[in-house]
Amino acid sequence: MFSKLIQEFFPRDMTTETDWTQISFEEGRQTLKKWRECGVRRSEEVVEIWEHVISRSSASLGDERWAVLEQVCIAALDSARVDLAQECIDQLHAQFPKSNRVLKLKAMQFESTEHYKNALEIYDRLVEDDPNNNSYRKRRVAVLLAQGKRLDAIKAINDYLKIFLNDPEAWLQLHELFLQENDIAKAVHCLEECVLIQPLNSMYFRRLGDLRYTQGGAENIDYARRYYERALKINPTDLRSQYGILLSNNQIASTTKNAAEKKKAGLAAVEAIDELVNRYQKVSPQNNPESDGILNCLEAMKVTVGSK
Amino acid sequence: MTDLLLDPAIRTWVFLPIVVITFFIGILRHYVSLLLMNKKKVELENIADGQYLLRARLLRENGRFLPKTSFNARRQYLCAEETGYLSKAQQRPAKGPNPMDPSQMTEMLKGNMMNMIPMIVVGGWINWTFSGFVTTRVPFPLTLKFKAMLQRGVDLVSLDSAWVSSASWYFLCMFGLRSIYTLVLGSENAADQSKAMEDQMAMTGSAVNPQADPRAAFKGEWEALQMTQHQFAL
Repeated sequence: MFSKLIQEFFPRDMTTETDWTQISFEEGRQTLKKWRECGVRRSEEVVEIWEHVISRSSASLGDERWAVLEQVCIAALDSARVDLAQECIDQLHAQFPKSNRVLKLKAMQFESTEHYKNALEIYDRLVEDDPNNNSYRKRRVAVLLAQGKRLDAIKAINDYLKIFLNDPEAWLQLHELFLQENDIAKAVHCLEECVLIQPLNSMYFRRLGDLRYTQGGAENIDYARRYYERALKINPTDLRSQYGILLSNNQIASTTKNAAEKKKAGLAAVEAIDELVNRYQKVSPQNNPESDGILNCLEAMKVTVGSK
Repeated sequence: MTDLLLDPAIRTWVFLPIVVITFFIGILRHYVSLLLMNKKKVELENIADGQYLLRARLLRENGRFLPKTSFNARRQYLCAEETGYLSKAQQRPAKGPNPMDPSQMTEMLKGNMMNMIPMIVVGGWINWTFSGFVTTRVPFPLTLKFKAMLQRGVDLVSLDSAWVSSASWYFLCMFGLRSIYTLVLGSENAADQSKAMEDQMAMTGSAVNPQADPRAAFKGEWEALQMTQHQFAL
């Protein structure tokens, strides 16, 4: 039961510990390729695979070697391995002395050592040189974020989105920045853009529900409920949306004047509680020591909601 | 029926040379095209155009998840009389590839030359040098229909259609060497004739071509967006 739940929530290779230092060369190569193509951020593992497996015979990678070096370099920067990153950049620079991609790695190295000014200079030059490549602009935003210049970052993302306006990553980042500025209406706008671009991502709907619920007011709570229902429909295991449905229905039941509406919302809230109780009962107490307390809480809530 | 016996000299002096020649022509083609072609420059404006078109389509398709006010605001942003991107883009003067522009001309010429020269010169030369040989036989029986394909240049009524003539062997090699080129040159190679041909077909068929006149696309998208009835789906 326990293992089944775990399997449900985590993909397999996160639970079965793989010793990345012991895998074969071909296996390491395939793993790195997979991660590189999917954009997985598992930097420490990448560094491990490189140091213990691949680097021993890196020449046999052929042309793939340069892509791997780039990947390892970024992973090394991410896990604060300055020496390894320098080594990768040196090799890449020797091979491609005039490449913008290597220059970008150098700028990222500056970033990692907090030389933001130098990094920004390089990025500015890169953007000017190749205005079509959006990764340089995105890195510039990342620098501003790292410096904590929120307003500048918002401005930079806005400029970026004037051209590349179908980039959900950027909209999501902008949404977070607006939330930090407590500007919920604008954050909602950004999330709605994300929904337009990727209408099957339940997280966007859930967050939209959260924001609408936070904004408050009868209409917004109603939107919140709809968004939570949509999120739950896309991803039936989404516990937070289930809670959202409960809360928004509860809110509607206690504020609306319409009797029929009130009854319907109350019933939906009770149903949501039942569903939640069901979910928590499946978790054994050893796995989640909190679950008993939560169950009691939910039962108590059910009594108060049901009595309305 | 007695089997047809081929002279071993045909193998050495016709069959293998055709394979080798076709292969090296492919390699040569790859490097020449690397030399001649400069990278296609895409203007930043073109990217933005494509992005806005895509966005208008997404709004039409997924706008049903947004509340009515949000949907209308976005539609207004794209379609407004004076300020909307789609409306403004329709007013822009036509650019498009100008056939009189010399730089465009050479680009087109280069592309055509890369396709035509190997086709005409090498094909003609091979046809002329190696014509009239029966070179090999496919190891399975074929129907009569294949005679036209496999026995070009050898018009023998009584010959079994499993036999392949030299000219046809050249074509088979030309189209069949793709995976070998991938092996030798990597996946992004320009050696393959058949791929170039496919590209040309795709060019004429595809709807969204960044070089094509964007105003028509903008107009269509603008109209479609104006027509869209918003209906909240949740």
